[in-house]
Amino acid sequence: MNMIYLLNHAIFAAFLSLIAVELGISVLGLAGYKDYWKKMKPYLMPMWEINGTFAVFYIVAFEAMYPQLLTLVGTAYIAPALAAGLFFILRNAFLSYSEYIGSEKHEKRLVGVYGISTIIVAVLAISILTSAVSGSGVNVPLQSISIAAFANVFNILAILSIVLIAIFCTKVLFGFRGNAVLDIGMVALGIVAIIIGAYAGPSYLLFSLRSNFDIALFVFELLFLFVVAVLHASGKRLARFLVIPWLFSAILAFTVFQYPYLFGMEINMLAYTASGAISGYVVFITVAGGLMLAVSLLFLLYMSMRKPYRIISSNRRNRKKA
Amino acid sequence: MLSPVIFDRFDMGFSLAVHILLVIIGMILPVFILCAEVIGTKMKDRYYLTLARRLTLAFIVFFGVGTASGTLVAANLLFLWPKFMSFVGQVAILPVYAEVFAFFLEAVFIGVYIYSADKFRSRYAHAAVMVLIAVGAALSAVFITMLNAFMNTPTGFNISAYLSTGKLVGLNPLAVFNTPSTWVEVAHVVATSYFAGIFVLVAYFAFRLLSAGKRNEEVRIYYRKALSLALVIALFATLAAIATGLITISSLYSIQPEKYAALELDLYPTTHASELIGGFYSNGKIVDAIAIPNLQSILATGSAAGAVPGLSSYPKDTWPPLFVHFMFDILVFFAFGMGAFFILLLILKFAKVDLLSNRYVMHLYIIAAAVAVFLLEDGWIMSEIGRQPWIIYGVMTVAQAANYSASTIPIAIAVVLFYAFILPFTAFILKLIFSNRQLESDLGIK
Repeated sequence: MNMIYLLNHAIFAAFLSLIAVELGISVLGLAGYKDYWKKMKPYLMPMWEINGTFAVFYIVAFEAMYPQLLTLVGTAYIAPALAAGLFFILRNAFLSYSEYIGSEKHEKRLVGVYGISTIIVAVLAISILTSAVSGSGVNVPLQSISIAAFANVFNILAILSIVLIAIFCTKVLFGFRGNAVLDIGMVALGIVAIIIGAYAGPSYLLFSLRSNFDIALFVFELLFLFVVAVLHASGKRLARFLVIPWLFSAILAFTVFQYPYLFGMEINMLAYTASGAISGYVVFITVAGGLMLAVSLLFLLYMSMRKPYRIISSNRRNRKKA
Repeated sequence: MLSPVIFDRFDMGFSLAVHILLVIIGMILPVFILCAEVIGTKMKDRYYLTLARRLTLAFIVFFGVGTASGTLVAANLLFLWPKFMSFVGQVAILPVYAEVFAFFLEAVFIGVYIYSADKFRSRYAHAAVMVLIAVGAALSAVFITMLNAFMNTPTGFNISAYLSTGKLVGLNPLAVFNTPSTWVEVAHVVATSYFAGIFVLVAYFAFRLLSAGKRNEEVRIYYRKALSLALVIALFATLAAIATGLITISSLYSIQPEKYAALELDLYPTTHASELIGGFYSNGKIVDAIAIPNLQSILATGSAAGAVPGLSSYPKDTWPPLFVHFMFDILVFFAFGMGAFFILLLILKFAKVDLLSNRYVMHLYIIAAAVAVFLLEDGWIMSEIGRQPWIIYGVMTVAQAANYSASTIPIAIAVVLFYAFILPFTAFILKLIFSNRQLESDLGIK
């Protein structure tokens, strides 16, 4: 597989995984402020800016890795993409407002706007994605889209599927085990929805897997999900650590099935991939920057798991006394 | 029917103008918070420590709105100017890509600074995290300015081959980091961003002191300390902005001669060039200008006999709109005004006027801040209009790069309405946050 394609889609999978968790948080937060929001807030607060930065990361990585596709993508998707941009600002703004507003009444309202904005951003982003994958409603030579790009079975089922899977992943991640059978039913419905959607739309995605590796990967992802679901149902903490890796690998698997096409096999991405000297530097910056990001995130994780200093020092004093 | 290009231009210009305002605050706040925290820790001064804590709240809100508006600008670049970004993607994308990681540096360490504040043994270690945030914010500005410098002085590919065949050959992707205008422009952008940003804080503290009225004396001390720190930083930032501004304008004549000629309203290349103040281009002549003999040649080249470029060396259809000369005059006038402002402060200091409480001086600070922000915006707009009709000088025009989709029209309107709502609402929320967290209780008075 082409290195640039793999890197670009790994960034995409990381971005979509983080946004999917935020989508789940938004839906659950709107459904139950007291039951869900308060438990999810400590995770979201140090992370929301990083999630947002992944959006920029993906946009710029795409610009760097597929420069010759930008005229088509930029011209065709201007309306939904910039509308998503405006709701993205609302998402950032209202979440940051809510953090220190103080009053619970105000916080609940601000979180509500954050949740609705995030859901709208996610729906617009999924719609752009499904349209780019399937090519439905896209006129490639004219670089334009019609309403059919979004009003089609694949897109509607993909939105439903991703929302259900996002809720499942969020519930597993935060250990919400109200009704595990319902959760498993939800994710199963999500999987069925995306399979039916692919059948109705870009059937090349799942119904003409081109190699044994593709088939093995598909089976592996289903088994991986099965393990996560069983662990979640049986209340094992391991499920919380495995669910995001599953989500990431499942999204990446879809991009492997898609390889190397865009717009329903109309465009072969390999013909548009950055080449020559610039591609080497792009890979270098991705790897070097990725390493810096990984180290920074590990430091963030280390600090967030550390006890407050006063507790550490009082524990030391107690040990000395003992 | 208006061309969609007009809406593309408007949308981009408006989004950038708003984003710049958020960026300058996002750049200066980490520096200011860092200074306050270090001074507060070193001197065990609760006023400075409270200042650092309270401004951190404002920083989070500005960062949230600012980064999102930055994302919108990034999306605007792609969707309003797809052919431009397609070109940049093949030649000059590396600084834009590197900027993402500067952005990550900022985002990750903001999380550490705020949510792990009580987990550091040393307060200096906690403050050191803010150094990384400040570096991330400054690097973002540096990298994105590199792209702008490329637009002004493109390099890294064979331009004549591209213009004759449309093919990109002789590519050197690293050249974008070091174009002829890169380092001069980077220095000036960073300096002026800090300059305008710190004056916003000066104005805020002056306003709070004016409205503090009969509040507790400790509250007044808090704002006086905040204002004094802001003024010290403002002095350094102003000196840096003036120095880099002088270097920028004196280098412009050799590296961007057409823009220079438009700014100075020079019709013909000449020696012993006069500095023109005011004036208009009419029927092939400059009229109604006040001319100071030889001054322009001296300022640009260091010698009265020095040659300066003229617009007649370029085809008339590539001349920028000549009202940039008027913008340049205004810029120079107000830049002198800022210099005069500091001289006036010095005189008042010798006259034993209290610069941290006198009501007239407080009003002066607020006016100075408005001028500083105006200077920044005027400078950016002048620089961008001064490159017209090119988006990449001599290579691609704005009209060639634009998105001609009719969707740009409602989007441009939506962007204006959106910012018209979000900016005042952000100010309102900040007021609500701070009214719920009384300064008196943060200072331990209540």
